[in-house]
Amino acid sequence: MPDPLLIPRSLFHKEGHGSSHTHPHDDPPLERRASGTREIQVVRKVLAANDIMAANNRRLFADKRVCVINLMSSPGSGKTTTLEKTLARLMPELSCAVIVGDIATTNDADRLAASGAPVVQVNTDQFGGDCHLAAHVIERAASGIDLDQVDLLIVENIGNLVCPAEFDIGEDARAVVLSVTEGEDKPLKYPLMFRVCDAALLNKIDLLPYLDYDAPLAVANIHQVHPDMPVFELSARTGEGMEPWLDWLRGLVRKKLA
Amino acid sequence: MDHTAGRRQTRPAAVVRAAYRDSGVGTAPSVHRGPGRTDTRYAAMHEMGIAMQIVEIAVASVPAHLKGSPVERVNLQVGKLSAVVPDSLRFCFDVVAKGTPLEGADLNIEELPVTARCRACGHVWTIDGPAFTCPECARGDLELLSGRELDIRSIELRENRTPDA
Ligand SMILES: Nc1nc2c(ncn2[C@@H]2O[C@H](COP(=O)(O)OP(=O)(O)OP(=O)(O)O)[C@@H](O)[C@H]2O)c(=O)[nH]1
Ligand SMILES: [Mg+2]
Ligand SMILES: [Zn+2]
Repeated sequence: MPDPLLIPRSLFHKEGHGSSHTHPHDDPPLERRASGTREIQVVRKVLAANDIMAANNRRLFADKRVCVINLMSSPGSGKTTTLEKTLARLMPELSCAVIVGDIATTNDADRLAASGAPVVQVNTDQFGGDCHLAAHVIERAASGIDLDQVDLLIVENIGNLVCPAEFDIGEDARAVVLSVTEGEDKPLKYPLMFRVCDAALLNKIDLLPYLDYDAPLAVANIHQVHPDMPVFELSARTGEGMEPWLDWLRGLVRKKLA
Repeated sequence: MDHTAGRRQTRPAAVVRAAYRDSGVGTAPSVHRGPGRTDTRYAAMHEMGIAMQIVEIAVASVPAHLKGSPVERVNLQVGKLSAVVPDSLRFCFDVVAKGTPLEGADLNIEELPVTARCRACGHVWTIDGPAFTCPECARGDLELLSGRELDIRSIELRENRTPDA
């Protein structure tokens, strides 16, 4: 049986994945360069394979009417804690499931499973510790969940502010968690992450009284990179400020189920 | 929420280990960059997967009648907003090109600026720092025209026979 994760070579030759479509790939034009080399036009997106997989996922999630959220942050910003609180508050009204990625260990999955939601743990250590969840990994992980029974699927990505921003997984929306124990300038240092997200969470606000942290500056920096993006200031520990974030999620699910 | 209340039943917890095999797509072999560089490990991993994709696409792009010709150069366009560090990518490319027709090839990276068009006033400009507000009307609803590219433009093959024309 062919491995369903292997992308047929022919997919790389499909039109529509490069930034311009002037060169049919079955007959690439050859150009003789002065340097004595032949130049062959390729014009292909390097991440086309992931984009194709992500589009497949998006179709599956649309079919199953599952709203999918990609939750990202640097290590330790509080993704799992936020999810624990989120599941506890949403599970009575929405059927939720989680895919959680870690380089190693099932600690986060064990914490999240306490909510009663189905949890699929993905460990990337067998790949040498991949730093993001790629679309084909999500496809495989989602096959372990009965999507017909799920309204909201939340993916806790690998703790990393760089790579996950580059990999579409077929999600409906992306959210990034920033905690007040990180620098206010994180959004300026990782602009791609804050550009590709649809919402930001400023977590651990319970610690503000003990820190010399300028929360309005952090919010301003987020808006400098992504004007008008919703920012939810909250504490996953105490539950303070959770409601606007939960409402945002409810709104996305409602839209998907409509 | 009454729109979904009671629609679906929650089920008991289940922790499933996703056992998936390496598909060769966006995954990376274990490569360390040497002592003292472990802090850059994640970045190296990310660029390793990208380098593998570049090699795969480039190898597949050599026309059948030129199979076996060594690839001298791969021309890549990388937007300045993409999560790719050119030096890391070149390092990873050299590693994964070993043993392929791309071994020893030059990875020529053209960096593209971040440019945007304001949806409110139509102004087009180049974004130099992490500030994504229109300098003309101060609004933030913009369309990125460039800056996120990660595209192979072409490959160059070494001539190892006399031209046929
Ligand atoms: N004071 C405080 N601590 C928090 C809060 N949220 C999370 N933490 C703590 O921060 C640490 C990391 O939280 P996690 O939820 O595991 O963070 P994560 O983003 O899932 O981490 P990784 O999965 O390892 O990337 C834990 O010790 C949490 O208890 C918060 O709102 N306030
Ligand atoms: Mg976690
Ligand atoms: Zn404008």
